This record gives sequence, structure tokens and C-alpha cells, in this order.
Amino acid sequence: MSAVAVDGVWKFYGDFPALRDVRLEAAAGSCLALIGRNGAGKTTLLRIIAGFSRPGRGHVRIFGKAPRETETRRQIGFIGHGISVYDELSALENLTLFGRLYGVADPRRSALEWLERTGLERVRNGLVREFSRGMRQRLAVARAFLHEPSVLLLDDHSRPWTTAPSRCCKRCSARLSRRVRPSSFRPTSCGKPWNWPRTSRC
Amino acid sequence: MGFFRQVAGHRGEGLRAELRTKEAINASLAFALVILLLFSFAFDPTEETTREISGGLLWIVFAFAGALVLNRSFRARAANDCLDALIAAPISGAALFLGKAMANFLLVTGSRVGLFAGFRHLLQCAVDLAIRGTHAGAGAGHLGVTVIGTIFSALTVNIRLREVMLPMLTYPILVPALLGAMQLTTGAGGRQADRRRTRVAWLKMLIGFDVILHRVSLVLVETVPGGMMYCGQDGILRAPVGNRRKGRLPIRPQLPKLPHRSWDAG
Repeated sequence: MSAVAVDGVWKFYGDFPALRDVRLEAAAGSCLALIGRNGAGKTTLLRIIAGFSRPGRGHVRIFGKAPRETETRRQIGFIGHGISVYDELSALENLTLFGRLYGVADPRRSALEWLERTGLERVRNGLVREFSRGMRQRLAVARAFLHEPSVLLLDDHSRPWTTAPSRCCKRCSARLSRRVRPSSFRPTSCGKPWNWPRTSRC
Repeated sequence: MGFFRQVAGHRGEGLRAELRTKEAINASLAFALVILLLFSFAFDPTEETTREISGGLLWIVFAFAGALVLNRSFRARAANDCLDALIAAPISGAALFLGKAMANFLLVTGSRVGLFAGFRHLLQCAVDLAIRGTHAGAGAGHLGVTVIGTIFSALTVNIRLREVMLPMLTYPILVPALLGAMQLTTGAGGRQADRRRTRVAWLKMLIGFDVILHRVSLVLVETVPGGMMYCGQDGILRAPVGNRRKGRLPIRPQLPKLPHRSWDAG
């Protein structure tokens, strides 16, 4: 069974087709980079795969199930354009909250572990709004990896980032891949994908 | 994770975030105090008429000050795409909604306590109703305001002019709740014994309205996160018009153009 299967997906913005009959499959443990110009529909496709957006036609399956099913959502890790953490909470509170929401067995312990892995253990009680950009991005990486997802969706995350969070993300991916063999999607509009074997153009 | 733990998690997060920033509470209290100050100059506190309309004055302040709190409940979460993360999490929309509604209810109730202090000082006539009437009707009234305000706050989170749209959408629906709460608050300082029966009738209506609102909201709530996603992030409201470049033909079939009819031809 494919980890991710996109079958004949169309997406319309008004009468403009942002995606036209997209078909792709990714096996478990594989990595796939989507490369295309700005406005080519990379983020749109990723949001459809993540279940944030409904396709106009066609369907998406994550391990054979629809993306919006509860069990499927637990298997997806997503880093979008925003960092998706609360400014008013501390790093530890953020990760503990998301750990609880994702049903992690011991959310506080997992949060502390991931803070350590991403180099944020020193500022774990600091409010996110006081963090630098790099620290916020590291925290976003920790949030996405916290529940050890089977499918990682990384939306153009390394381009606007400084080197350190990007390296941190690669390290976390490598560590996670040794444990659960996630499938990764990484749309990018420039730069080289990380030694990933397959690319697909939008 | 159990449903109620999810609800408690969202409630705790909402309260903690607000108590750290105090943005909504401060704005709400400041607005309410200004209105109360104006009322205290406009109406003579010693007159019987002021006593009779004091319930209405109080609920005008509550309703508008509450809108300031409710307006921020989801908007503050949309700042860093936090809503994306919440929507992606394997939790039910009902848990998210109930958690936010509970946090909002506690915040609105907290600000109400502050408002009563101002109300007592500025309009002394309302002391009686502040003590008795509020506990009877304000809780139920606030519950209705909070539930409707929370669900519409979620719906309007990504649209333009949301600060205007939220009151425009919620107040017409809230008319029964505001009427009931107003009647209960005013009636609590009542002078006649038969007012008790009227108050009970209004309270029953208010509780029934709250129950219906809750049920409808919980039915709708699975659609609301979808509305937040589909309309705000990538839906028609923010359609990328700039991407309509040449060479990308619209898929919608083009209707044949009708021949131009010139009225000047004749």
C-alpha cells in the first residue's frame, strides 16, 4: 500500500485550475520533492494531502485512508509557512499541548526530549513571542516531529530559513527515519532537495 | 486522549494565553467603563426610570464588551497559522469549540464581575439587581452570548472586516437571549410579587434557548473548521487572481457571446 496516493486531483480557485489531474504515489520510507515555479500549486497540493483543503475532483489517500480521518491525522506531520505554535505560551507548554492533542503517551517527557534535540532546552520556559526567528523555526520542527509521524509534509521550509533550523530539521528527519521510516514530501521552488531520490514537477 | 481532556486542554490554553496578554480583557473593561461613565452622566441614578431601564443599560454594555473578547478568541490563534495546527491535530471540532467556548465564558464572566463594580459606583440604583438579578439571568445570558459569539468568531476569523461582521452576524441571533437576560436583570429588582412568575418564564426561555444554541453549534461545528480553512486560506475569498495568466485556460465552459444589440441602430 502506498503511504501517499494522489489520484486525479483537481483544485479550482474560482474558474482557475490551480491543480490539473495530479497523480502521484509515494511508498513508505520514500522521499519526494515537488519542484515548481511560484504559483505552480505546490502548497495547494500539500494542503490537500494534509487534509486542510478539499480537492475539486479526485481524491487523496494516506495509507489507504482519507486525510481527514482521525487516525490519518495522527500519522501526518506538517510544517507550513507559519510556525503553528502559540506566541503567548512557552516552548514547553506549546509542545506539551500539542503532545496531548496528538495523544502522545507522556507529552511532557516527549516535549522535553524534542526541545533537547532541537537545542531549545535552555529556553524551554521562555515565551515564544520572545524567541528569535531561528528559535521559532526550531520549535516548529519540534512540534511537527513530536508525535513521530509516518508522513512528513514540509512546505518550502528550508528556503526562507537560516541554516541552523534547516540542519536541525534534516537531523530530526534522519533520526525519525531510523525509527518509523516516514514518507516525506517537500515542495520547493529553488535550491537542491536533500539528496532525495525522486522529484516531481508541478 | 479523552474528549473532556481535549476540551480542558483548549480551555486552559485559551485562558492562559489571554491572562498573559490581557489584551481582550483590558480592551473590554476600558470600553465598558467609558460607556458606564457616559450613562452615569446621561441618567440620574436616583430616578425610578433609571432603575427600570438599568437592565437594558447593563446588557448593552455586556453585549458590546463581550464582542471585544469574542472577536479575539480565534483571531489571536490565527497569527502563526496555529489554526492549521489545531485543524491538523486528531481532535474533534466539538472539543475545540467547547474548549474555546468555555474559556470565553470564563473570560466574559470575569469581566462581568469588574463591570458590576463600576455599575454599582456609577449607577447606584442597580445595586439590587446586581446582587440578585445577575445570578438568576446573567449566567444563562452570557452562555448564549458566548456560544454564538464563539462559533461566529470561528467563521469570521479569516474574512475582511471581521470586527464589523461579528456583531452584525451575532446580535440578530442573540436577540432572544439578550431579551431574556434583560428582563431577568430588570425584573430581579422588581416591586411586585407576581414578577416572580414572569421571571421564571423568562429564565425557562433563556435556558431553552441556550440548550438549542448548544445543540445547533455542536452539529455545525464540524463544518466550521472547514469553513475556516476553505474560505480563508485558499478559498474563493482569497482567490489568486494574479495567477490568471495567459495560456492557462479556464476550465469552466465559455458561454457563446450574444450578438451586440445596438439601440442606436434604428
